[in-house]
Amino acid sequence: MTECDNAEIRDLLPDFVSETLSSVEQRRVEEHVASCIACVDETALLRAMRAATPAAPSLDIARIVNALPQHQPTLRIIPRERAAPSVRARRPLAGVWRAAAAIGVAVIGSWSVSSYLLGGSAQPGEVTSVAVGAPARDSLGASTVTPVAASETIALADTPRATPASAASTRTGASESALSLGDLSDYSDDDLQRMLDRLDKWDGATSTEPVPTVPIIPVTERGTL
Amino acid sequence: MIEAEREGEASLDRALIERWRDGDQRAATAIVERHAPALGRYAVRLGVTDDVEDVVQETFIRAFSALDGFRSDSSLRTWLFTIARRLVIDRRRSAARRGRDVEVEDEHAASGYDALDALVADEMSQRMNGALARLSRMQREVFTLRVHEGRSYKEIAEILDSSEGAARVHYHNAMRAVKEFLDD
Repeated sequence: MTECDNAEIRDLLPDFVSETLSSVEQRRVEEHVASCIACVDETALLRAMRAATPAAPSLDIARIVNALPQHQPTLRIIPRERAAPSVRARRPLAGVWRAAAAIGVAVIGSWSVSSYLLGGSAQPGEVTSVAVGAPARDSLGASTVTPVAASETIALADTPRATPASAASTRTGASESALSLGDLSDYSDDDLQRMLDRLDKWDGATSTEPVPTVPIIPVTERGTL
Repeated sequence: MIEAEREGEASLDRALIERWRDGDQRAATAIVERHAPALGRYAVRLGVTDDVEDVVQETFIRAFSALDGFRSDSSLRTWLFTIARRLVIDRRRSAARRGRDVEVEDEHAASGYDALDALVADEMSQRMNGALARLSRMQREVFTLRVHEGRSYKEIAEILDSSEGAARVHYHNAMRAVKEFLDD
């Protein structure tokens, strides 16, 4: 039995016999085999070999399936991009709105505080500019702002202007409702004595009694009511 | 079967595996039904005689135990053939250790293959099987996978843990040996 010189075609003959080639390749090999005695013989041999394939032994499929292990679900790591989109991902502008709200609160808060503290120092039509930052008080009690970049300074041109009168009224209103935790001068001698007596009686052990609290006393600008 | 059909078969296997992973036991039955006959034939080709069903069952048990780690780089059938082959080799080795069977070397593998004679009736088939029986174990495995199972050299290399080039050389050497035997 001779052997074909075309190694590529010989490589493809088993696929040709089992018809696993694409239609184009199948036709190409077929054309070659039609004109090649060696390939005709080899093709016949391969077909005979395939015909000699033993029949599949009878198998009990149900028995095999019953012996299979049950699937145990395992935790699988899901890449973040494949996971369900998070709330943050669904609302990409939420952070921007949050930052805007924080700036707004800071601006309004700073403006309110500075209006209260400055009183008449704000000039009509100009008012002030506030900075995003912690305002500090100078020795005169005036509100100052931490120097910031110009872009961080927000002019309140369109907001209601603070006037000395309105600032004063705001300050008065605030003082009427302000509360103070007080200091020693807020207490009478009798009050202080009572507190000292209680301290003398205190044995330092933990107690279920409520902790003595400092009374909250409404105050005016100059003292208790 | 053209390449598109083979890809379709692979897609169907992937879908069945996914269904089984989701808890559908009917998918397991479908997978076994699809591949058990070919595995049975392959086991016979590897020289398994009495306990073909045990080999097939053990192959599926091993496969399903590791199915979560199965990558679809190769076809499911190629993977099953790989498992079956390793299983048969392991069984031969354990049998050899027990002294019942010393068939590990090529010569003994060939004699075990003679059991195929009972499965074929006509003289031509016996001659073909006689020719195969004279091949080395590796040649016979490559030849069987290439001719009877229609596997590509790449798939054969995966199953035998070898290279495509080596698979091709084994196939052509086997073909020459078969022709020489039949010409005598």
